[in-house]
Amino acid sequence: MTVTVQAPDAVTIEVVRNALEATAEEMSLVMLRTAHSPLFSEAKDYSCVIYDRNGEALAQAQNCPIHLASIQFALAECLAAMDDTSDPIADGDVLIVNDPYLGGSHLPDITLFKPIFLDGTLVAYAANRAHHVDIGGWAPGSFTANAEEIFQEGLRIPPIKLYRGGKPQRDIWTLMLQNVRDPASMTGDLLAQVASLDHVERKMKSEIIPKFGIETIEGCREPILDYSEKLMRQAIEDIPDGTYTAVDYVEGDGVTDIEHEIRVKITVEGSTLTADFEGSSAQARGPVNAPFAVTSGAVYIAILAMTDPDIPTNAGCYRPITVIAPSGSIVNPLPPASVVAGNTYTSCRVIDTIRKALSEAIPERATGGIGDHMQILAGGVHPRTGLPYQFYEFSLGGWGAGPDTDGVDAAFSLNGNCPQVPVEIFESRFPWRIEQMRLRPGSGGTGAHTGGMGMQKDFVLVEGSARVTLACDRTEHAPYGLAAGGDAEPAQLRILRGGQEVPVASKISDLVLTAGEGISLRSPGGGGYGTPSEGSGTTATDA
Amino acid sequence: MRIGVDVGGTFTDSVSWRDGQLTIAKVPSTKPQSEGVASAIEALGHSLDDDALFFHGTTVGTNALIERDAGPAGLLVTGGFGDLLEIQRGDRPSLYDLRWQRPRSVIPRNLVEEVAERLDANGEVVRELDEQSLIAAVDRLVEAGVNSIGVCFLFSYLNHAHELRAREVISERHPTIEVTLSCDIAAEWRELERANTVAVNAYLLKLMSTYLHDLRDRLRATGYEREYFVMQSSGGMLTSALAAELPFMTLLSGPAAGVQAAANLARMSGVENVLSLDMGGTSTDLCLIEAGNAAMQVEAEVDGLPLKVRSLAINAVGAGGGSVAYIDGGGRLRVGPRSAGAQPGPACYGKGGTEPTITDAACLAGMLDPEERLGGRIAVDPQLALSVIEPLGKQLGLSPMETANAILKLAVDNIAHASRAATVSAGRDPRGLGLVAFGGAGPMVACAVAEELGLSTVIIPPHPGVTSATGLLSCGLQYETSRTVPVRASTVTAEEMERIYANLEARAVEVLSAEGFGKDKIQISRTVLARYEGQTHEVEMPISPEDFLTPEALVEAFGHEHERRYTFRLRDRDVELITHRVTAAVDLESMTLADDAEVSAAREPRHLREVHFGSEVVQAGFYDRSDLTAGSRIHGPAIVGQLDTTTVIPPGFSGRVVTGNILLLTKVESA
Repeated sequence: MTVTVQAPDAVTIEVVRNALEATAEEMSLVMLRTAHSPLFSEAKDYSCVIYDRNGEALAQAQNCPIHLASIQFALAECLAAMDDTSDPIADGDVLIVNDPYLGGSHLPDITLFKPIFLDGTLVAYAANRAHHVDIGGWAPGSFTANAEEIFQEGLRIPPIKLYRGGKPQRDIWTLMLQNVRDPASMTGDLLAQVASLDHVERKMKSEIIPKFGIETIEGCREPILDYSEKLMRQAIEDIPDGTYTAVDYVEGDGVTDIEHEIRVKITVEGSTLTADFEGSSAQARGPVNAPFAVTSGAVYIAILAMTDPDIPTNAGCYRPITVIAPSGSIVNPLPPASVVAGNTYTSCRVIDTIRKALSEAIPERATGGIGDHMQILAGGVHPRTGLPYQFYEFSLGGWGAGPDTDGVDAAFSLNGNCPQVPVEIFESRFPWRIEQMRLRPGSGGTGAHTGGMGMQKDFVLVEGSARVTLACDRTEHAPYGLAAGGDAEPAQLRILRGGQEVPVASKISDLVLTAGEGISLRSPGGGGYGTPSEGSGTTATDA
Repeated sequence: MRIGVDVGGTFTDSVSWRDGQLTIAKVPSTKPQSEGVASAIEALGHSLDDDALFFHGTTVGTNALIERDAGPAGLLVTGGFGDLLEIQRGDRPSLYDLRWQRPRSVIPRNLVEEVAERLDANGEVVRELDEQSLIAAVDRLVEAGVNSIGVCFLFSYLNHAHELRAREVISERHPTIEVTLSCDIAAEWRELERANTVAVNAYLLKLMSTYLHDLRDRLRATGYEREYFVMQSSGGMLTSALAAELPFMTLLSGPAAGVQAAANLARMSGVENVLSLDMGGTSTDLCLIEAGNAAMQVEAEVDGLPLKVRSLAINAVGAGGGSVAYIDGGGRLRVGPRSAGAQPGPACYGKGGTEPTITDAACLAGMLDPEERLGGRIAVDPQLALSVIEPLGKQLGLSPMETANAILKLAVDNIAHASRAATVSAGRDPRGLGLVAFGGAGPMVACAVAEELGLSTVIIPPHPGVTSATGLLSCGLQYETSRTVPVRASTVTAEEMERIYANLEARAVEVLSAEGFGKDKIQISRTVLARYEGQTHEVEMPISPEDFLTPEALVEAFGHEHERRYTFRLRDRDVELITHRVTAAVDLESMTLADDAEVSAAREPRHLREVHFGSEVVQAGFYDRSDLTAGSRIHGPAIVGQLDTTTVIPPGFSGRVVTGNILLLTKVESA
């Protein structure tokens, strides 16, 4: 079958784009409503994208930005891997991959792709990436804070087929499930991912293609991408040409106390922008390294936020942007470096370093530094069921203030967009209790506009014992203020033990807690903006 | 006899249907709304007799919520969680927007009090309710002046004891304070959504109950003793007594009535899929209706706040006949969302309006007949329209007529844009749809909106200005009651299941029979919200007694539904049945309006006048809607005036009157 391309009118392009975006949102909904771990079904730590047959993103749901911007790297690697074999991608196949060195983000993020065929011709790919509660490795939740090699971080899956011609590959499923701590959750969550891909296939075949015709859809492909590219180029043209630099730090890496530098030089020339990380620290011994796909994704997020946040996001947006990251550095490590935290706080740091560099060029669009979300992972055996459990929970930081807005209190960092798991669902699942969840007065930076407050969330183990990982940053280098606005309060971590609050390292695995003990995560606020008015002190955010 | 009264931002509309006759009336909306409701009934010319049913659509709650004009209410929460409504869930609506702000809770932080108490995830008491802390918290709220208190404790959906005790304590100490408990109105997990639903209900309670009781007193004063009904956001009716306790269920009361009416009109006109466009004086409501079913949502969002309530999926845009045109800081012409409302209204009404509105622009363009009296009561004066549009034009360097055209164009663009959002966001191409246009201002802009969207069919009901009110008469009664009792398919017995549903049914039947409906008239449907063990979201599915005969049958029924929706089912996984719901409905005899007997092919206009359609100036025929009877044909350019609205038919459109006195307009090819 050959597809002839028709040049569609502007309204048709808009309607097709919206139909695809609506389908991506439905993918997301199917996953949300059918998944098993609260990390999927409540915290939405996943993303859904529809790609054209060349692997360029056409439409995506409003999910987790760091996934959205980086999945395309994995698709490219998958296609390359499949191209080499005598076993090409066929109708009914589902591909699986999580290798951060092949376009993945970190091992718990499993990416699935489904090619969509129409009468034997490949027309599109449906894809999703989702954070599983465990993928094996040293620490429960597979977030080993002191891992030195990716082999310690869990099961590493190269691009392979999870389904072949519509049939699950039982041997692959068995192998995977044998290597993780909670096979029941992983099964339910993988099936939710597959259902979300099937939904796209069904909808494309039964509704979208019959309605518009494959020729029209094919004809809309380039205009959809070109439109976003054009808007992005216009937005970049509004930034004065020049070179802008900034530096920020990742505080240690779980193995060493080295302050790792994230150093960026941004060059704006007409409608193009280059982010060059030359001079950034060498790759770390601990898992704070951000694979190239993650670094690139973080750059795209920062540029979208600093230019026009309303551009329909697809591969077209990324065309005018070039990312240069030295091989073997913290922002483009070589295997077998460990990487699990690169996707979480190092990507936050990349985003805010770029935002800081651009704040010189376009101060009217800038806002102060954003307080990272803090992360706690824990696992053990639930005393009531005798079954293993793991969770991955957050305490949310404040956002930076801008020239005309205060920062929002306690919200997920720009690299993700995970709603908090309701306390009632969290406690129904895990033998833990949230003792309190409140804003941290005074944690936002002062200024003409104040930064948002961080929050305090106290997790207490109720029964049994648990192994805990803490994975946080920004305990020393606070989110920055801008234009004479104050820096925010940095993060604090405490062990709650016998009525005492004991300081604890921000990057640590193998912390063993017993019933009655807990962890208090006090997240950083956001940076302030502008000179504080008379009389406003450090507690301006109390008001 | 049935009487319906629908309150809009500008007008209060009333309709009655008795002995096959429809009577309509229209009066200006008032504050309090009940005054206008009473005069709208009076304007019908016949009072409510004891056989009559009275149906009401109101915007009291919505307006108060949006304007933050109710309360003050307080909220009691579990100790440690006083910032719940501030923190919310922590995600954002727009991924890359650095300047986003959270929607503001209806209960400010200083009116949220923590109470020492705690339940665990099994509903067992971890920390006893500390009465001293409860009393102190309640007294502080009362001291701060609240008229209503909401209570939302963690895990109260499993164990109501602490919330019930809180109500007792509040009522003992402060008998005049209204109380809303989360275990009463939203007994399901997810504390933020539940707390917000409670907060909104508590916030609106005093205002709504005062309003609905006041209205009841006014009705009683006319000798009408029966209970009356209030439209719910979901499109069914609730008794006024329940609506007074559950204002959160009526937030989309007015718009829902319009959507129901549009669904009926689409069916009568034989158009399968339509967009309902209800344009009043202040705003326009849009809703997609496919195959007779309006789009629904299980969780509503009102003003950015999540509510656990089922409702119609309605998009609203701030463009109405009274929307004010102005020049913004950047020197650009804007229209709305501010409205001149009913008082003073558009300048051309001559009631003291001094700002140019969409209606003034239409008046200046010649679309409103100065020789007829709009609504039978309001005359329009083009000189007054000119006097407010001319100064605006001078600032823009445009002639008054160019300015009027620009205002109309902007208004149409705004509505078309929101219409695309309502349809295209669902992946629907609006071009295949019919447009059902009503509300006082809908028919004035309908054809222009249709052209902008590429639609070829426009449906104008016989009485566009009171169509929402007509919807009130035709949607039937519905009472929904549910209970959250989590059980497992593997262990629950058929007897237990039957007991749960039988109790709910008894309650539903009791409510409707109390209003005089025999059991034989009441239709019952049972649904259950269920999920696989381990999931956190439920699927709602119909359930019949056969389904719970054996655990296997239950699992099979759920597996079937899960597969239908999500393409797969899980083997060897238990099913949790969480919330059990019974809906009792009474269908009302449908209203069939007799067609006029006379059939005529073409009508002569009463007179011709000059009308501006953009830069095109044409002689348009002016008709009276009463001249157009079944079979009448009419060609644009034409203006059809009637008691409650004006229909503008641009060149290129032609119309005919079909069954039910519906004016069906179609775009003529190559006009």
